[in-house]
Amino acid sequence: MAADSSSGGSAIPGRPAGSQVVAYQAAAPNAYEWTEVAYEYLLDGKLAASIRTVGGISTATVTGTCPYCKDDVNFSEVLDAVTSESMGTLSRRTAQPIPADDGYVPLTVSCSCIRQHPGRPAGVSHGCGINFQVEVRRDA
Amino acid sequence: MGTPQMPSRPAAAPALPQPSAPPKYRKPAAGPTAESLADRVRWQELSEQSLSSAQAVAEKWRTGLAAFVTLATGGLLLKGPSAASDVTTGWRIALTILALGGLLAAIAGLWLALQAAAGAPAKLNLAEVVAKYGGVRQFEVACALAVSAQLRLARLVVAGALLLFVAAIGTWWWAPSEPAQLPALISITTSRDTVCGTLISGDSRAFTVRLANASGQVQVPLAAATSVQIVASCLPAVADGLGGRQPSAQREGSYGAVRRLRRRRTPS
Repeated sequence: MAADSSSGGSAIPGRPAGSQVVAYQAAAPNAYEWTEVAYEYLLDGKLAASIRTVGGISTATVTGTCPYCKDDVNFSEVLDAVTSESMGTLSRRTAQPIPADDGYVPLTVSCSCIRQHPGRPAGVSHGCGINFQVEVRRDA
Repeated sequence: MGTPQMPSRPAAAPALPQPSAPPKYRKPAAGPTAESLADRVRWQELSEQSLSSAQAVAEKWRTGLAAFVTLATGGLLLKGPSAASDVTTGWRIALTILALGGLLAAIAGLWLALQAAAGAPAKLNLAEVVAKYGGVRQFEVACALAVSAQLRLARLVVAGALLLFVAAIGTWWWAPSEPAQLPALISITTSRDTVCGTLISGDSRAFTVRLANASGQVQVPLAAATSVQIVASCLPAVADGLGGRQPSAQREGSYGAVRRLRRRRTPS
């Protein structure tokens, strides 16, 4: 899968190989192809995802090469929160079956690079516009 | 003689194939959606508000728990503080243990709830926070978790306190009262005056009375007595319940009898 085929980007001298100025992705920011490329990058080691639990708080991080703009992805998300209502209270009310935890945590990742991308909307300070999905094992 | 042959070792069992660990990554079945992106934003807001949300909840719980404790302790005072001394000693000990236990548990529970709601100022170090929790946001969530745990413990302790208070109230209501002391004084009225005091003896001839307001004993002939009463007190105002208004002869009571019957006084 060639993620760059539709980007129309051009190589910039002085940047790492593969680093291109690509337009801000507004047409298909959630396209499945970004998820597929991200999965290939994960297998190739160009992208890494992990879940670290410290002090009882789990944090997911995704770092590496963006599937679209090839800039650095530095994504972090705290997977725990404290609210005034517990899941137990809600489950007593709804009584809906909870899907079994197979150990994989789905993460919705956005590229948050700080390079300029033509067409980036006003008010958006970072990112090339794409979002992709990653599933990583909790204990990995 | 041939060289002894060492028994050959049994062939090692073929190693069982180790179950392969599941891969670290799994290919998602679909890409992100607008809903999943919105959920991520909402989750981030929820996570950032963890500490303030937990403290706000703890504050409400603290107020509510204090109201419960006030209600329970108010029930303890329904019968008034003097009623506790009316119950028998065994029940009074049980009542004391229950009420004091409830009071101590209520204090501990409200202290925990207050600590959960208000926290305590402390010095922090960014490097230590990052090293221990992985980041400031994670530290805030950890603080919120601690607040939640403190509040949970406070609720349990105050619930125990309320149970102790309810048990104390029930004990107080149902504890048998100490039997009232029977009046041990006798008031003997003769045609001339009244003698009041502790009855020492009585036979077919006379009563022997130890006077309440004077030392010594007097004997009142049985034939002279026109009326004999058991009274709670020899004080004129209390004894007859007339609020201090009583016949002068009765108000004179045992005081006159001391003087007039002194000639018949027996050695004590």
